[in-house]
Amino acid sequence: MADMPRPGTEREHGRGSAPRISGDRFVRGEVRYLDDEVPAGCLHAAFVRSTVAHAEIAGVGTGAAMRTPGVRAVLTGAEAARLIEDLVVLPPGVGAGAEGAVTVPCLAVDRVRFVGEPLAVVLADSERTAATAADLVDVSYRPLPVLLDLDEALAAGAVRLHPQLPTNTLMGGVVEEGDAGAALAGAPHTAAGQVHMGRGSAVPLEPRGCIARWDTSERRLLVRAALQNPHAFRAGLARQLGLPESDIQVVAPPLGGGFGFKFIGMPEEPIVCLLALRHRCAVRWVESRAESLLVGAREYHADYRVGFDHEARMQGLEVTLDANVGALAATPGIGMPGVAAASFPGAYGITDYRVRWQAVLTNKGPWNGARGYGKEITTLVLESAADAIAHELGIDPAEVRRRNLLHRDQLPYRTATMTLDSGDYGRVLDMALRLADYDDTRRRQQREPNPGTRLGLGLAFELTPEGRDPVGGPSRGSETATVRLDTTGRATVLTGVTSPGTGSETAIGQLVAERLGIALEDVRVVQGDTDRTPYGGGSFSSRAVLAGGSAAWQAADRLRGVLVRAAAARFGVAEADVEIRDGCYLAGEHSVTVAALAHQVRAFGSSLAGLDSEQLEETATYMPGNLQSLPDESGRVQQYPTYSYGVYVAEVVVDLDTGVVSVRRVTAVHDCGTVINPRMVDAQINGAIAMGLGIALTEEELYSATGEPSSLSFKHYMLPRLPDMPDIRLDHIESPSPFTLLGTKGAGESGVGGTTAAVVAAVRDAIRGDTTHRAVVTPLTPPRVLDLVDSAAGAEVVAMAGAVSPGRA
Amino acid sequence: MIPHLVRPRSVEELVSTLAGADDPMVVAGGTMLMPRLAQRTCSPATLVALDRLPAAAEIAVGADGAAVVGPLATYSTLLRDPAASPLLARIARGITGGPQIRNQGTVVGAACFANPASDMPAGLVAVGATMHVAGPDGVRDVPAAEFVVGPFRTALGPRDALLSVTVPQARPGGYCKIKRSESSWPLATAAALRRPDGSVRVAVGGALERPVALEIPAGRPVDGVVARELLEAAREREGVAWWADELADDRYRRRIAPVAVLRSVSSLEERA
Amino acid sequence: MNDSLNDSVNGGATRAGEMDVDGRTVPVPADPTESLARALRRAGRTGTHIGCANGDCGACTVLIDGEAFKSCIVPAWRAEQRSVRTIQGLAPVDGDLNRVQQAFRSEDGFQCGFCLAGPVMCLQELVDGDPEPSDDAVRSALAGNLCRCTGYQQILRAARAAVSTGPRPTDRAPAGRADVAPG
Repeated sequence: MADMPRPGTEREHGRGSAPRISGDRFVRGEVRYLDDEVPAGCLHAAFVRSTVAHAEIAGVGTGAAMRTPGVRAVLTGAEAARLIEDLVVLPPGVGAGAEGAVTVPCLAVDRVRFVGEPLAVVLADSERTAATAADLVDVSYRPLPVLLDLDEALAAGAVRLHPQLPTNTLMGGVVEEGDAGAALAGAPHTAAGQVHMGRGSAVPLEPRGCIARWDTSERRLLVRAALQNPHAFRAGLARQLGLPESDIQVVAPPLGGGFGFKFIGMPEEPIVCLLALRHRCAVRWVESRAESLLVGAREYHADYRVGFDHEARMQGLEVTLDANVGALAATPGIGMPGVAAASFPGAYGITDYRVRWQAVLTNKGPWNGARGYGKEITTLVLESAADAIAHELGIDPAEVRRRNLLHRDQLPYRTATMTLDSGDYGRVLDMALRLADYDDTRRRQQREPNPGTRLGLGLAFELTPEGRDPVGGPSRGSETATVRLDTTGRATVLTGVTSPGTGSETAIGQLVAERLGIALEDVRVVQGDTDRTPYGGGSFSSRAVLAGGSAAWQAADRLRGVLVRAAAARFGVAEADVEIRDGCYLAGEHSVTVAALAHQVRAFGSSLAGLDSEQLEETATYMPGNLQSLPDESGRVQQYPTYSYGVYVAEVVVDLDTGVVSVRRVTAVHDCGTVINPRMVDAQINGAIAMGLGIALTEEELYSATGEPSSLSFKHYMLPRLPDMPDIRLDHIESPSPFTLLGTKGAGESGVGGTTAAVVAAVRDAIRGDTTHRAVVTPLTPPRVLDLVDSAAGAEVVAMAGAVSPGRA
Repeated sequence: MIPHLVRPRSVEELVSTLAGADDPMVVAGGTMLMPRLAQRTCSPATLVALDRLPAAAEIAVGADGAAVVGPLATYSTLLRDPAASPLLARIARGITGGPQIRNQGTVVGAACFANPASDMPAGLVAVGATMHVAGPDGVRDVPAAEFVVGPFRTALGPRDALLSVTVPQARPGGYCKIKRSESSWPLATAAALRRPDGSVRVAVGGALERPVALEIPAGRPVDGVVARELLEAAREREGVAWWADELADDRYRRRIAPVAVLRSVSSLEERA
Repeated sequence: MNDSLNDSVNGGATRAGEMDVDGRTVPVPADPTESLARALRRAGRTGTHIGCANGDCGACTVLIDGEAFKSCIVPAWRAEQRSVRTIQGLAPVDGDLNRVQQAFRSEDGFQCGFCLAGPVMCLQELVDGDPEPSDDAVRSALAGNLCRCTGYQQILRAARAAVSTGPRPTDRAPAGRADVAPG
């Protein structure tokens, strides 16, 4: 199914399931990630981290650490504050009630706000010495009340977590259109419910890390950091250290996964750079797994109320969405609740809705980004509401979607925050139901061979706004690429988008290869280097091909024009008569290789008509359309140009005696517009399905009552493994976006929220009974599932999976 | 401080090493100890490795059918010779962590780690294993049922090492493990063994502070209610509390442990 | 750091205090708490990655005398006078990829590649022992590895391509985790 032929010619945009550029180096184990570099003579940094969730720092004793042989320096928060500027969390005017910008120091100075917060750093000549000495730093605390839950943080009289903010609400707002209150009051039916999404994290297999060194010869700071946004990191670092940006080079080596976890804004990397600058040496730090699991994301509580008519048509929606964003962090992760709010009401065409949202600070670890970027909670809330309607009216959940999804003739469709661009939501729904054998499975549900287990079926529609233009952030929705041809006929693409390990460089290479008429293996893609590539936003919001690929396509297209003109001049024919085939430019009996043409342009361009100023290099900047940074007359803005979507169907088996859930099958039909590399798009969806499965069933960062994190290894933060994976059925349609150059929409996030919502729905479907009054909770761990089973039955269910009689002696 | 490594080549050398060593810590497969050493949550002065003891990695089946499991015999060793102990081999097949951990994790190490959320200690109780302990005074035997005394605590003294385990001749066994997902350690396990007289002994692991065994008389029908009653009676008799950790609370474990008992017995019947 | 292995290619035999790594002699570190993974990486075998240092993720998987281990939790001294094979030792530098590598290459059995030593080395152990393993054996061989990118689908496809006869249908029971089986 995954590789079925798709509409459009295979040659168009060079599309096709080309295997990965550099795949050979990967399978030989030769790709070098951050941790694989150890500069000769480098020193190692280890962070001293708070052991309490909330306290004033009464003292930091560094004597024992300093006396440890091999220790070069110990830097406390108070000392660091004099040497490096704070991280900026929010610019002036954004924080709720804040006077100016909201900032956070790299190392805690006088107060710690979560277990694991860095408050000092040790520099030593070995990793082990640094870590051992960090253990010897003696910190004394004066405890403060610990706020872990939303209710505690929002309670009247709760201790204020941050002096720059009048309350513990970091920011918030309202997204609305029409009159939700009136619509709900007038609706024939209403349904209300709660949704809790447990705290999780993106958890790439490679943690973060940073190696910085001062180049005494060039007098520059050279930084390698496992980050998704090297240019933006450099800009922030220059401000923090008081250096010109041009005195800093940041290289993001190949990443072992990103998913938003490697967005900038965490304190460790700037501190490593500060140490390198001060000590004029190479300094290295690689995050441990436990450190990486201090970071969280996506802990939400939502209340919704939906009004609908007898035909199940949604008439009004009210949502309050509270995000527990943990301790203050300067990462783009804190932007997720706002995006979640702005992604309502999905594709349901509700004209009267109101979403009130807020991001609330607590004493848990800070957030960084996580794939889905808020849209996964939006999907879970909307799909829970749709299922509540189905339950209320006694109709099939699929029918509720069918009656409410926007019709393709209504697109483009404007909401307060989005202009849904293109697609056929109803068709994708029908395709997904067919591919999932939905009707047949519904029939199978009635036959129950084993009373101890039940089959459940759930579905979800998921909308994923992509290609964000984050106004006010360090980068824009646009992207710049340079394509350079050389006299061996090879092309080099310099792009500001980075690959977090998705393989998007292959799709970018395909676009360029097709434009120039060369083979994919003759294209080299350079990413993640502030010295070599144009300024770029890096990887976020599924923009590598959407923005970076489009810019590269444009630059390559211009270069193609140069080559065509050169060939026309060489052959003495009209440009229109030049054909490009198999690495050659042809006209009639004439033929010339790209390499020869390139040589001709470089060596003799000046003497050729029409080529006097042409070069073998072009740079293009591409900005998608369909964006509105400034509010229009109705106050509407939109930060996303294009909208991928899909329908997800999950089939699960619930063990009623243990609450253990097995996901048998997930079916997805997806539309991300034009697909350049079908295999890689499928790969993205497959990975997202696994993440959605983790959110739905297994992944949760837990805390003790006093705020100690208890999920700091993979034995406790449980990622799905192969045996957990269901059978996956995938299909696609391609509805090109009218607002992007190539019609692409982005495929990097689709499936996280859809899978989560479909699996949750399937579990509740399996349990049956009336569980609608029970909150939708993720992850649905076996204990939580058993609670739901009891709730549906009205009593604790005693295991009755068949009595046995042993002993036929 | 870097610990001193000793790899004794005989039981005598092991005993004298344990008697004389400065702050010894014994390592078998190392799957649980290595991360703790790396994270500096333990820092022994002496590491005593069991890998060079004679026949350390072997399972030797004697004339009486009893199998002697050496200190470096791994889950993979059990799987290569499943007839030596079908029940322990069944446990080995289902452990978390894949072939790499099956190749490294040892029966002896799992017994000594004594994690309540694990199944090998209860498996050893089910089969009626005898634990051979080497200490400063020589070698002594401890029944498996008395080996684990509490969460992460065993009958081993600070200068003792578990040398090997003797598993009596194999009898038909039934087994059930309940866990959250593939990454999860067990929440409840039950290993059932039938005696020649038709009665069944079931050892429950994963759910309590230490393994608890219950007896089902021959011919007694068992359903969820009976399984719970039998288990609660055995638990109270031995004074063992339900286990709670990050994976599941004690209430949940109390709820599902009888399910594991029931299922282990029915798998025994299916096999019979 | 020492970026390459010791130049002396040994004939498979190593002396006390040494181990054989991909055909070359590497000293066993003096610190007995040092993991094999760190020792290998120090010797330039950086294709063996450390993702958890806790024996959970499998990104550090190597073969010791043909058996797969998560080298982050194997003390380096356990490999003394034994033969360690890493992902970088499967094919000669600049030579053809081996069968497992080739399958992962042509099927894109990875995305970010960080976990690759896990599935590749586990598959290597499997096909070394049984060139035509069942599909269940393939799946079981991969159960100890974490991958955050692929949802395991590309890995499984590559793994099936790596076993010579491809997938053989089995009547695999649904992936129930409350598993019951006779002892």
